[in-house]
Parts: sequence; structure tokens; C-alpha cells
Amino acid sequence: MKFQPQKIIISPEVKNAPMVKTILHNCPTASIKYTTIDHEPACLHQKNVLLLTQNKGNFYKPCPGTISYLCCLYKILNIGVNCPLSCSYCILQAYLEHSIPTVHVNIEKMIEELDGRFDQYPSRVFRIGTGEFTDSLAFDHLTEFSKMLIPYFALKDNAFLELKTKTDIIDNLGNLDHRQKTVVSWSLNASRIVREEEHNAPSVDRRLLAAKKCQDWGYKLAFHFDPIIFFPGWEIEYQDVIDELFSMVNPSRVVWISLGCFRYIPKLKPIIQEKFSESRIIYEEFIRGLDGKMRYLEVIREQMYSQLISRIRKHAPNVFLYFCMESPKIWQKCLGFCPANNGELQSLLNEQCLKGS
Amino acid sequence: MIPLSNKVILVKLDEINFESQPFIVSSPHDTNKNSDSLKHLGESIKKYGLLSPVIIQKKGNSIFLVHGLNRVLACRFLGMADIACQEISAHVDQQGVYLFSLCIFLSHHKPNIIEKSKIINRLSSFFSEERVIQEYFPLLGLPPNKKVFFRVSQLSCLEKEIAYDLAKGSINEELALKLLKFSSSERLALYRFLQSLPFTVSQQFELVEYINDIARRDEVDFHDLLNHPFLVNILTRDIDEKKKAHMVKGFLRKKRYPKLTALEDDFLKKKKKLSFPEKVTLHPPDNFEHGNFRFEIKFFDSLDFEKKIQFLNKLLTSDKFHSLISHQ
Repeated sequence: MKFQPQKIIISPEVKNAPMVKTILHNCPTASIKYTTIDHEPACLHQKNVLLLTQNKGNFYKPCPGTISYLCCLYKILNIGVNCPLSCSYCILQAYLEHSIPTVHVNIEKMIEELDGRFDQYPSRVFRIGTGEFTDSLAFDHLTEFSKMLIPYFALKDNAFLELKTKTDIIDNLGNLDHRQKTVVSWSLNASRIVREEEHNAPSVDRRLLAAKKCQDWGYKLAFHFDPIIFFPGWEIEYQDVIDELFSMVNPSRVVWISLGCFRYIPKLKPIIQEKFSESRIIYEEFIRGLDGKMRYLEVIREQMYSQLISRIRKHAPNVFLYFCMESPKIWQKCLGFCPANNGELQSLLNEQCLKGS
Repeated sequence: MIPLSNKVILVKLDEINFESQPFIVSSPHDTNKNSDSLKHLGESIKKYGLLSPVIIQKKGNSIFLVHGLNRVLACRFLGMADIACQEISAHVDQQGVYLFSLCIFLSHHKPNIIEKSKIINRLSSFFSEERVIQEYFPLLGLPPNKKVFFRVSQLSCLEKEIAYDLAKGSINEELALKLLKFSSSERLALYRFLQSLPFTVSQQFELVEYINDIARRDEVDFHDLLNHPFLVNILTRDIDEKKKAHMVKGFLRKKRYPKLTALEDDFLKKKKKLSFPEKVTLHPPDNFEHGNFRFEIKFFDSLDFEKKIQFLNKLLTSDKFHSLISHQ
């Protein structure tokens, strides 16, 4: 189901923003209120409300990553926060003070920031994603962001956009001149996890159908198995998703697949217990990692990664695989190599972007 | 001014409504006849009589006690038939009477945390949250903010047994708040279990976490888990209480972290086979993942040092040693 807010709160300072007009046009039945969110405290945790506001900080920022583990030096384009999906494991629940789906509509500032960056460092490759604090496409039928962003990146020599999603909202991507500068990526998980933990999210089948369409439209694709969650029967279920993935998409169109086992900051546990009392994912065995996040034991992570990698390799021996926030030891043991540092991992991913474009 | 009659009247003790006590602030009430405070008060009343009358309000057919619960209880235990009272006019509304009672209470008591909680909840039935925080929190010695309001107001939901210990300060307030997350029967089962052995506060927190996690993961009842034959056996054995506490914690930790404890056990088993000299210890990496192995050597002279170094040298060629550190 595509998100249709019942109510839209519009911060007065953005009431004339062009994107607001587009969103209002696409939400004919929503009630509209021009006010600041401070005056609507009852809406702070409502998922059926949409907040349109300005991003007062920077749109472009480095991914917070984590300390003591290898990270890919991803760059984030902060187009909004929260999303209409309710994934029990979502880290944003612990990071943000509210869960109201929010779109930053002052995109002129965003373009200014991006132009400034790209022009200032013409020899650098920028790999930028919008799916860090929100789902890249969950609001696209309302905002039509992709219609602006994809052609914008198509014209940039040194920048690539990654649209990371769990949805199948891809209609706007169909007729765009993307010039392979946009990677459309999906977060995938075992069917049981999708069913029990990723509330309101489309099934894996629907995600992969959407991926196939994007492939047919010539986009580069990527996939993220993150978070990989331990549960009885995980081996078969993850294997099934991988098999299904490669029954739908051509491995040569996949620029990367990332893997990351479930990890969480301790503050998230009581939130999951309260909001998702049926969820069992926090009751597995975790140890506190060097970054303070709770992680599965190394032996478990190694076992899970090895199994998934071997299945992926069976279908796609040459696809680029990387870990999100993992230790050099895990890299070495499971992938047989380890980037010397975050910079090297970044370069390897940039190379994947540049291939064929 | 509250219209409090100057006239002292005698009221039959059994006519005072004990079922509903909307104006009593003190909590939890020690209704045990043999409690020290009631015994002392009873002796004083026997010797000198009731020095000051209690305060009541008559409403319809009911007589509500406003102030003087301990005196009423002591008089009842002494077998007295009636008690001297001063009466507040029936025209004064509940809010007026409660604030009067609260004012007297606070003038000669420092409220315990349960009393604070009940006062906050009662005041919230009359006033806005904001007003309670701004006007009354300073009187209760609480920092005037919403977080504290939320925290403290919850505590009055605790069962009498737990509330009593919390008011006495014999359980940690954070722990009490943590226990509030459970159902009443789970909470009581947990609480009684934690009280059964001399666990430290940090152990109590750990145990609550273990028990809750195991129960949710394995979908077992708290009671069933806490009545596990192993635990019952430990609790009924004639051994030192601290040792029991240690064994109970070890059992629950193992149940919560079977894989991690298996790694620890395996490491210890292999280490034992190497027969380390006294005061030479090998520590595994934290959680068998981070950092390095660590040797700790204590020695008392150069000869002892030399012996220990020789032992370490021999480890280089020991298969058992390599097996110990290789699977990490």
C-alpha cells in the first residue's frame, strides 16, 4: 500500500515551496495544517501524518558509520526523516525524538549544496544515498523527488546516487534519463523477517518485481542484506531469498550487495520491547561491540555471512560484496580479503559505480 | 481557611470508613498491630490518653478520616470504642480537604517516594500536570520536570509488598521502575526471587534482564523459569547464601547466553589442561572477539620469574596451547 497521509503539517516557512504544491496535489484527501510541529505534539509519533518542513542543517553529510569497524564512507543526502514503514529493528527509533514521517522540501538549498561540493572537488567521486534517515522511495509518489534528483545526477560527471528502498514505488523512475548514474537498491530480508518485523513493507516478491522493472529500464541495481537476523530456520529462508533474487535479476546488473548482521544500540532494546512486544529478535545472544552496539557473537556472524556469501557466489561469482560495519577479521574470514582502511573500501565501491558508466 | 470545628466530638471507631481513604497521605500504612511505631503510640495513648484529636469529615452516611490514621489504628488495637475527633465541614469539597490534609502532612513529614507518587497522582486528579509540577514538586523536593513526573507517578502502582520496601529504601528505585514493566504476577515473582538471596543491586538488574529475556525467547512463564528444578535445588541447599547467589546467577547467565558460556567453558577446559603455574593467568579476548589474549604473571623473586618465563617459552611448542588460542 502506498502511503497516503491523513494529515499534512506544513511548516509556515515552506508553504510556498514548489514541492509542497506537488505533494498537496498528490494528497487530495489529506487535511492540511500550516503550523510548526511544536504546536502539534500529539502527532509526534503518528505514522499517518506527514510533516513538510525545511532542513535547517546540511542536506549533504557523511554517514555516521561506526567506530572501530570498517565503514564505506558513504555520503548521505538528508531529504527527510522517518518513513511510513514500521520496522521493529529501525535504529531511527532510538536516534530521533519523533517518528513522524518528514520530508525536507527546501530542495533549492540541497541543489546549491550539491553543486558546491561537486564543483569544489571535480576529481572526487561522490557516492551519495538518500536512504539513511528515511526510505528513498517511500514518499516518491507524493514528492516526485526522483523526477528531479535522477536527471540532476545524470548530468554530473563525478557523482552517483543510490536510492535505497524496501518499497516498490518506482513508477516515477520509468521514463527518466538516468544515464546509469543512479543505482536503485533494495533492502532484502528473509520472508519471515519481512512478515514479522518489517511492518507495512512490501513482500520480497514485490521488491524484486520492482527491481526487475528498474533493470529493464537500464538502471544499475544493488541489494542490501541488512540486518541479517538469526532465527530458527534462517539458513533456508535466506537461501530462498537469494535464489529468488537471482531468478529475477541479472547478476551483471548488480553493482554491489552489502551484508550486515543485526546490531543495535542498547537504547533500542526497551523501545522494541515496548512498541513491538511480539518481536523476539532482541532475545538472541548479543555481545557489546567495540562501538557500543550489541552484536551477535563473532562465530554466529561468521557462520551467517559465510552461508549467505556462498549462496550469492553460486549465482553471481563476480558480484562485489561488502560488509557494513564489520571487523577486519570477519572480512578476511568470510570474503578472503580486507580493505586496508575505510578509504580503500570507499574506492572499491566507487569503482563499481564507474564500471560501465 | 478550612472550616475546621473547634468542638471535639467522640466518634465510634467502627463508624470510620476504612475502605475508602481519599484524604490519607501517608503510605504505605503499617497496619501490623505489632509494628514498633503502633506499639509505641498505643503505649503512649494508654499512659497519657489521646493528646490531640484526629480530623474527620462526615459526608452522607460516611465518616472519612482526614488526618490521624496511626492514632486511629492504635486506638483500635487498644480495643477502644470511640475516638476524639475534630470535624471539617461537609461543605468543603474533596480538593479542599485533600490539600488541607497534605498541608498538615508535609508540615511534619518528609514524604517517602511512594507517598510522593500517590500525592502526585492525587493532585493530578485536581490540577493540570503543569500545575502539579510547578506548584507542588518543590514542596515534595522533586525537580520540576515532566520526566520526573512520569517516573515518580508510576510508582504508586507497585504492590504493597514492593512499595513498602521501596519506601523504606531497601530496594533501588531504578529497579522498582524496571519491575513496573511487567505484569503484577510477574513482578511479584521476580521481586520475591530477588529478595531470596543477597544479590547486589547490579546483579539484581542483570538477573531481571536475564529472566525477562529467557522467558520471552523461550516463551516460558516467569514462575516456571524461577521454579526450575536447578534453581529450587540451589535455593534449598544448606550452603552459604552468597555462594547460592553466585550459582543462581551463573545458571541464569548460562541459560541466557548458551553460546558465549560454551566458548568460556571450552576455553577454561583447554586452559586447565596446560597446568599453568600459580599466579600465571591467560585471559581470552573480550567476548572472544575484541582485542588480544592477555597474560597476567605475578612473581615474587627472580627465580620465580625465570620459572614462569620458561613455562611460557614451552607454550610456544605446545599443541594444546595453539589449540587454545587458534579457534578464536
